[in-house]
Amino acid sequence: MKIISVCLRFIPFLTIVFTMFVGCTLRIAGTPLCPALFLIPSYYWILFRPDWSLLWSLFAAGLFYDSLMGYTLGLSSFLLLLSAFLGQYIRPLVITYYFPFVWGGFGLYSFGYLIVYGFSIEGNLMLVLSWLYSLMLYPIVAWWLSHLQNRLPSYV
Amino acid sequence: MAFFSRHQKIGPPKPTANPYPSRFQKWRSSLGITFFSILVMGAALRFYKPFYHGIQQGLFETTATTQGVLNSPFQALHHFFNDIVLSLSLRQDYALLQAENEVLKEQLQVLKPLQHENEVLKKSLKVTAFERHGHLTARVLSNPYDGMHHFFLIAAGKKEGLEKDQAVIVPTGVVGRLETVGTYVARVLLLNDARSRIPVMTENSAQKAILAGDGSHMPTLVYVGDVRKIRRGEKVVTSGLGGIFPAGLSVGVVDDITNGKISVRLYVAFHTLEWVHLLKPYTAEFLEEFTTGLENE
Repeated sequence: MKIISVCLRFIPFLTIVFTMFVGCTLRIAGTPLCPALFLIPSYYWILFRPDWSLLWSLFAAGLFYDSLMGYTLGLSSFLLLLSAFLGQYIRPLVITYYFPFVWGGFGLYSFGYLIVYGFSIEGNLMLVLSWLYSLMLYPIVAWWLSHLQNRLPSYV
Repeated sequence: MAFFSRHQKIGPPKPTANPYPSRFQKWRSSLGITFFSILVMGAALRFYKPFYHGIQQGLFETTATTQGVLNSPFQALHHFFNDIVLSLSLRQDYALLQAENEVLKEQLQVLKPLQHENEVLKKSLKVTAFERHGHLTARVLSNPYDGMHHFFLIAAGKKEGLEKDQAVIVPTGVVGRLETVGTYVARVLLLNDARSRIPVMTENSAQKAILAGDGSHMPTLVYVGDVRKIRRGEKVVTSGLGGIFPAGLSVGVVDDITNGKISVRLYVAFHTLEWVHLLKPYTAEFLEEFTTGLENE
């Protein structure tokens, strides 16, 4: 039982990496969904299960993204760790029963992330479009993640 | 009844989370300290080059392979639907290909004597015949894209004898070059990526230039010999300089010339590629001979 509960702690890492690896090949009308798409699981777990989203897993996910895309290693890790660090202070303000409020929080978080990211790698308009797509996809992905969060422990 | 009930010894209480953690425990669980230590480790990785490159290479291989495996079901599904669409238009394609084949046969009849004449002339002029390029075919694993970099991953690597900077082509034209080579996977930098630079020349006006990718689907020609001589619709081919791409490979056509900026429309539609050819690199002797020839010129 202890092994299973330890395995559950890997769910955030696995969902982030899965969204990252599958999402980076997806496009809507030629516009990529990444990097904004993998921010959805990152934000969700930082907000709702900070005890599951271990810092090391965020660090590793960032390294994976950078190496896959051919960037200098460390930028995404740094931004994800910064998100986790700031997340603990912002969490009490954002977490409410009203979904639109959480959704809006994601909009602000991902926008901030993409601004810093865009400045670091000379990003372009594609980043803004990817942000808009991720905003639209947030409810679906969050619904899927909430099922993982609530149902899996109950099965265990 | 008390005689039958077994005496139960009360054991020690089960351990629970300490409600009053010590200062050390607080420090250990502190998010800020963990954050700082990861940053320090990251900085050490970044600035100690050999260690950094080793990690970078290992991570690339792991992520590229995992990404390829994760994507394979989606890719199979995509191919399945593509096959259905293709089979629906099979009869029409067959008729088109038959007509095209007839035309090509006629052209071949005309070309055969010309080819023979070309060989005889080359012999009489003593033109050096360089070793023809062999090639290797590899499957495209996936094409990750985040709006900045244009590349894709192929299922071949050092195991197949690939090396960095090898030319990647398809029958329609040049695709790009190998940027990173792992043991089983490699990353192909496409021509329209902002980091891509290849030496080219225009076919009719014979102007040498560099084809520079800018992230858009139309790369531009820079360092052009004489911009005024280049015409719209002119074919752009590789010049053979630099020793990566052999001369004469099709790249694209000049699409637009505005204020000295020459845009090239590439022949290859990158998003439709499933297989690519990798040209074997030049031998050291050839490169030496080539460099000497260039220096003399």
